[in-house]
Amino acid sequence: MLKRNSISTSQLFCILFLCRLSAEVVYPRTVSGTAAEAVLALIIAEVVRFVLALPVIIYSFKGCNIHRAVYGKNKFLGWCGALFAALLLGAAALRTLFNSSQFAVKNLLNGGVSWVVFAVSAIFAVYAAIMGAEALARSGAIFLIAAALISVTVILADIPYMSTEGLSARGSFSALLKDTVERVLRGGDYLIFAALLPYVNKKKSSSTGLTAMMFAVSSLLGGLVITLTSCLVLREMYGLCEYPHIAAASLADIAFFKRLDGGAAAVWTLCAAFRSGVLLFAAGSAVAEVYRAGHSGAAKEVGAQ
Amino acid sequence: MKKLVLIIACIMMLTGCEADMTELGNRAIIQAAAIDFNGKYQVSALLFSGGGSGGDTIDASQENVIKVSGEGETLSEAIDNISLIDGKKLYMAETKLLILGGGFEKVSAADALETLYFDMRCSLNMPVCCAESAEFLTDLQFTEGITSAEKPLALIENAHRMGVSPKTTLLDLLADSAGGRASLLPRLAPVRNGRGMTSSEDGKTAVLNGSRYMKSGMLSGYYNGEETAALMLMTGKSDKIMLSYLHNDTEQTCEAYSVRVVPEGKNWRVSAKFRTRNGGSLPESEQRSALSALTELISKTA
Repeated sequence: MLKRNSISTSQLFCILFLCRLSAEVVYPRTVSGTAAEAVLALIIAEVVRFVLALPVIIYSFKGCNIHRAVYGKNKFLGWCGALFAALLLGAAALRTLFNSSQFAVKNLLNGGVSWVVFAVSAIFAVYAAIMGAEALARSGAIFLIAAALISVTVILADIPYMSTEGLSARGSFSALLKDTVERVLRGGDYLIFAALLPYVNKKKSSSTGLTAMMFAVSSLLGGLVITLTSCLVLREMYGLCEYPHIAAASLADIAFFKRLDGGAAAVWTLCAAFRSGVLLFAAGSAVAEVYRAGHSGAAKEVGAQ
Repeated sequence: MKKLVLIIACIMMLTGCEADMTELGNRAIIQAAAIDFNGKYQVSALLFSGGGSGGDTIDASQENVIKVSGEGETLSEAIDNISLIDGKKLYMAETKLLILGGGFEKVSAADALETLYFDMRCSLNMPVCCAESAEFLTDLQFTEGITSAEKPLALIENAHRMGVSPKTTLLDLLADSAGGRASLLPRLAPVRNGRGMTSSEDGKTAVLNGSRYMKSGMLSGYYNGEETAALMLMTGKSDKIMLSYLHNDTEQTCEAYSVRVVPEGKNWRVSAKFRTRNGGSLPESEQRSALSALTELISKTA
């Protein structure tokens, strides 16, 4: 877990992008709104998450880790910030594990005991976190390829079912607000970014900042692609579906695959378990970074004496 | 690593997991379902059964379905009734066709449709049609196809390809219902029409007989074949039609394609291209007659 400079910026991007999209697919929709309201909520949530993450992104352009930077200015605040980030990341990991177990039970197992799936996913997540940044980065790229393949297949197979009929329906402000809050709370990716920075092998100090900017744009585009295709396929039914992407995948009918919802659900369940592992690793890394900063500071003092 | 594998293996074996472990052979796979309402929900289902051939292979010359009926205060109760009668857990994700009966003129089928998708896991692209008495279709023993459900589905798909009948799926009904729109459903009716299509000696079979609208889950209206084809053109669901018209007092037929119908106040502006049934070109004078017949058909239906 303490390996340094072991992942590239592109691997970091893959991890963040996969974490973002898996939250988008696996978390259930609880707001019955329209397509227009869902798209607007997505855009607003992305902007809000970006604005909240600006300090992290600005520091990353300087090649600095924000936890270490805050610790350098004020040790107490540094510890508070790191512990708070670790708490948020840990809570996000638990939430992802819970949602992914519900997702798997409802879409793959057709009923059953979700805590078994929760336990297996938790073991996977803990194992992934223990294996470290490099293992996460390598497996992240593979999971992303699998997720991209299944998603592109679903989108292409769903083209005959797409219709713009339901796009013009207006939602309500309360549904928009609730959906926006729900989407903002699916975040945690920028905290992951901050926690993984010490492990990134950067050629220039600005490369991690550029990665964050690229992630911000890709996250918005990826979310839009998933949401819009589901809206175009499901029309007004989008608001009634708990997992719209999986519902849209159930229509995909290509070659000898009558439905792709099972395959899509299997891939995204694994991606969600991966996300949980990354969140747990990031939680530990945030605290470890401040701990290392404290010890390297103490070592310098001893050296000076 | 070995300890971790051991722990995972123990969790999988010792949990007594209650996931739905019903094997496929113990499930009643519904191929077609006919639902009607007459004070209670009446469901007739064609269940796949390869038992006609005696086991492992499917004999296409056999019917390969059994019919089971059930009723209940709710659709779920009626379906559970079928499960009890058949002795197997029902599996509706492979249902090829849903037929709604005339009982849904007075009662909304919206709840039933939502139950079929959200609870029974029916596929969103399951075609839906209507009939005066839904059960008649499950009584017919079609001889073509591996199961009896395939023939009526083929009727609908062929007519849809020709542009003369709609093909409405469960998704269309649910989305239109949520959007406050009406959906056009193909209508099947019993007919005596030669022999061989079914195993019935009296030549009884099913035929597409126009369409009906469904709005807010309730069936309304009735449109014959010609009117249905015109409605398909007006709503943009089709852009071609085989047309009969009078030219120089002689009955002619042609194919109208790239048909566009645009409302203009109380009238309709119709534009189309015409060709013979064999794909050849049509003389100008005949095209004018054909366009006039097409416009008259649209106006009559509107």
